[in-house]
Amino acid sequence: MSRRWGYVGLTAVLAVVVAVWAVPEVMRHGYFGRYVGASRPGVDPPLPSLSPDLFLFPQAAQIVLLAVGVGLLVQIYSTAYLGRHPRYRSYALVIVLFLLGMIAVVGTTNLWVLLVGWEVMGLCSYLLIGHEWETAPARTGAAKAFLVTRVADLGLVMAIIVIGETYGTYDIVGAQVAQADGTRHATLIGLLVLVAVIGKSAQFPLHTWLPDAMPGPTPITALIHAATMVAAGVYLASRLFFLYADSQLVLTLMAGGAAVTMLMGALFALTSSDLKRALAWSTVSQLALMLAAVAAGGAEAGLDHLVSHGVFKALLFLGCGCVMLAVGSSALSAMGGLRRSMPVTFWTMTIGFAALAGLVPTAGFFTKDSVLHAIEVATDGDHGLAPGVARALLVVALVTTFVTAAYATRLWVLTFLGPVGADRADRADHEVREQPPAMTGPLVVLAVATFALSVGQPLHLGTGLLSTAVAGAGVATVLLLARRGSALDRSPAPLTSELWLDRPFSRWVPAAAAPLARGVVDLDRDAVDVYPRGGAALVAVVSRGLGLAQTRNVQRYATVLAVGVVVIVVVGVVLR
Amino acid sequence: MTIPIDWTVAGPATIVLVGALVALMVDAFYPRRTWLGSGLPATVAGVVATAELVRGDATGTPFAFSLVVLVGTLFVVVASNVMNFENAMPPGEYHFLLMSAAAGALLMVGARDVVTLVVALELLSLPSIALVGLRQGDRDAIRAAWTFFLVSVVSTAVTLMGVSLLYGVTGTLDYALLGRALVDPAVPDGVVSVAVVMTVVGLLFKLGAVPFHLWVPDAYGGASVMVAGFLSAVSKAASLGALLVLLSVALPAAQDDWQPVVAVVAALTMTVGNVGALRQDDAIGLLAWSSVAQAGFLVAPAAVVSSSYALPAAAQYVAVYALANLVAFAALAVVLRLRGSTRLDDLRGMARNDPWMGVPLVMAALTLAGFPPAVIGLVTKFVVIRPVVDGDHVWLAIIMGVNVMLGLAYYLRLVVTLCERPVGEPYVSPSPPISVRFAKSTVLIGAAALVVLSAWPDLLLSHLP
Repeated sequence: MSRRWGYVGLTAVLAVVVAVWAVPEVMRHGYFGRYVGASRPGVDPPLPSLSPDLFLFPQAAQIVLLAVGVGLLVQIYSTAYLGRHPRYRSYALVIVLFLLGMIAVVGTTNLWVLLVGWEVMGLCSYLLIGHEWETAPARTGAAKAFLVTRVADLGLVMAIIVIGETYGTYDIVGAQVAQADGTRHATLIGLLVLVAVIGKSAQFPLHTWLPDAMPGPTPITALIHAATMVAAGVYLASRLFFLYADSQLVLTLMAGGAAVTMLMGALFALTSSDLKRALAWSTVSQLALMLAAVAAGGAEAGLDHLVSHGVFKALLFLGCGCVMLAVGSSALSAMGGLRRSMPVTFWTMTIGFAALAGLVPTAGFFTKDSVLHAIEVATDGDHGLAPGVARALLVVALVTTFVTAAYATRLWVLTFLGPVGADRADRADHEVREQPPAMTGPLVVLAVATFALSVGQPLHLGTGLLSTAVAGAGVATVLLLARRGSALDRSPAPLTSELWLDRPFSRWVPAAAAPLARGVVDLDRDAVDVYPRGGAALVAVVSRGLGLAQTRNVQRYATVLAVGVVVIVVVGVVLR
Repeated sequence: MTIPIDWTVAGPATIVLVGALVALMVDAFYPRRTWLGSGLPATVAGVVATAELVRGDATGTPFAFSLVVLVGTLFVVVASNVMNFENAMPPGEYHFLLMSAAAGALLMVGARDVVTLVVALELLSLPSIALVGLRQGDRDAIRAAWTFFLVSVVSTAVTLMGVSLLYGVTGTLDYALLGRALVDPAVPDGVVSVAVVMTVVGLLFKLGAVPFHLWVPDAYGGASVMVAGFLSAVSKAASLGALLVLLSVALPAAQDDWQPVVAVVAALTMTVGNVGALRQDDAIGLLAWSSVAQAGFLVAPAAVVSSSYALPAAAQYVAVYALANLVAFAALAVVLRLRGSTRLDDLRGMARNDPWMGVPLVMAALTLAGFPPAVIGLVTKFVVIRPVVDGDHVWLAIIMGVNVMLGLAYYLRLVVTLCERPVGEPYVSPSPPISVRFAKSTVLIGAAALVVLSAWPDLLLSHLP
């Protein structure tokens, strides 16, 4: 028991250190003035260095605070959720490493350090998703997450190299200084960054790894979906926005991808029969909303939504964990009627769902409002995005708002209200109880934060009214359907099978890669390995021969010496 | 007639010799067979000689090598305390021979004419041979000494032949005059080639370079462990210093003669030494072969001695090599005394169940391998390869790189063995416990020095020329 709280203490120390560092930065303004980076832009890129080059601008400070805050709550939650697991130590320590990776990504201006943090997170997510490696879905999910995000890593590495070659520095602020003289290679850099973001933030067409990562422990899902892994992609897109802001092509692609992803994710969430998977699709959709803001030139609005989404999505996943532990399944058919038996979970998750739907006065409403406002501003065509594209994006975003409100209400109704699900009713032990304070406590904290974060958020009246109306319509529709006795499980086949978009990854790529991989293995074993094995055998023979040459026979030694002298003299004279 | 004496060179050597005599006298009049009686005068002489060297105005390469010789000798003297109360080892003779050899080493580094070089070489060699065979009643030791002696005599004969040829061609034996005389186009090329190569042979023999390395594993295996440490560190440092001075001052004109020879010998030496070390199952045998391989790394900068990096590189490399090797040998001496075996199987898990000796041994092995966390080993590996690349001997640099990898194979095997979980009960010596405090503390001080140098490599790089 005390051992587990030791890891909480470790995380708390990390959180305090980060808070001492980051809290003053949240308040501060002025961007370049106080930065004294070592690297000055030059003509040739300097050698890649790993000097920390710590630097936070206000929103980055918010993101690191979010990361360590959610990380701390996840650790506390895990003591009760997973405390008796035999591999708890590695689990808890990998969470800390995960947080360090996120801090490295957000807290530095050195692109190589950012890359290291990015890779560390990729590794940690692999380890944590596959924590229950005894089960096959956990193994395949972890491997899939790892392999798909590799594509993102490739994009990031290439982007870093191109930035270095273009601006002569691997420092983000340095590149910003150099970029003031004129942007170069904007499209190339933008496309590479886009690849990195699409992979890491699970956007169309590389979105399938995120829902498949669900076999991981639920607290980890909360951590990955809310504050760390996927957030890094959006953060990168907005952090490097200035480098590709001029490129119409990149912005249009980003907006198009975001539009497709947000609607698709929301529709999948609407039809999912599994609470956890529905929340995962909701993350995909919400991340797309943030990227839409970035594409529309509202990078700050995107990051604001990232923070508020991080809070309420962590709340929802942790609540989902409570429910799952209580009913023993994450299928919606096993839930229902949990309002009375789990009051704390019910009320906190209600707040979370309200924030997800974008209802006043939660933080989710205000930041979504900022995002919609940013897209609306972009429709005048002055922000890089073509007016037509921006208008289409706005329409899709509003439709998504409707669908989001609808699926949030549906999940809420199916989980807490309504009749007890079929799967649970026929089980003898369907008596469920509220979870211990170590699990409900973090929910309460996050619920309070969901309201607290709305303090001081800007309000845009026009879009605010519009989005409230749309969201209200979505909520009302679902409630009406539920009132009329609908089971809310209308699910057309294309949507429940998620448009078969996973098929390339689950069938075609493996089918194509398997013979190739077999060929490589054969080649490696039969052709390449001959040299090291032969070399080792040869050296072993020579070594034994040298040992045998030590005969302790003085005459032979003297002979070798004399012959050696003669040979050396001859060689010396001949080589001359 | 007065003979001019260069006290900068002769001072420390004289002090060391006086210490040798006092040590012998003390033991002659108070023969109590304890180590301190004669060890103390030897230690004092070592300290005073070091002070004299630092105070004097010696600079550059001779200073660096003399310092390595003196500090190494001091280390050996204090660590030899491990042989306290060992009846077969006479302390008076031991210290006398050790200090005499050290004086020879000092003179060798300071030599400025070939005759002094040969005399100093003998002053180093003969006590070393006696040291190897000093353990009374030990047939292996005597046999090793005998081998060492005969091979040494042959190589000295070759060197003397080379020296006489040189004298015949140039009419002088002074380094500076030789250097000038060899520029003369009238000097016959063929004879100079033969003479130069033969002269260098004696020094290569002391370094244990291939093909003159055969005595090394036998002598190290037969001698007391600390004597092996002395041979591998002090004797080698002195020979290398003398070789570098000889090549750079006396024989630069004949560079075309010796450069390919030295480069080929360096490459062969490191390869043969490493390959030989791969299959050793005794820690001392492993270190013996590894010191053959290290001799190759030591000789490599000599091949490019005209490069401005070469002399400092050699000095820095030999300093770190000597320190790490002495730590390793001293730790093994302690282990051999307490456990009675240095076989790798018996060392298993030593870093866990005997961290005071195991961890320094790990640190020394990592330094010799040039593997972090022993950063200083890595730095000096870089330092020693740089002049080779700089001097356009890229092929040699590649062989050095390959050999660094080969070396990792057995050094890391040693490290892994030491760090493994021990199987069964740790080995406990049946003999009553012996106080080896002095030897243990030298090991710890040496290991601490390696750690400090790893943290601040600049301490070495900027202070040793």
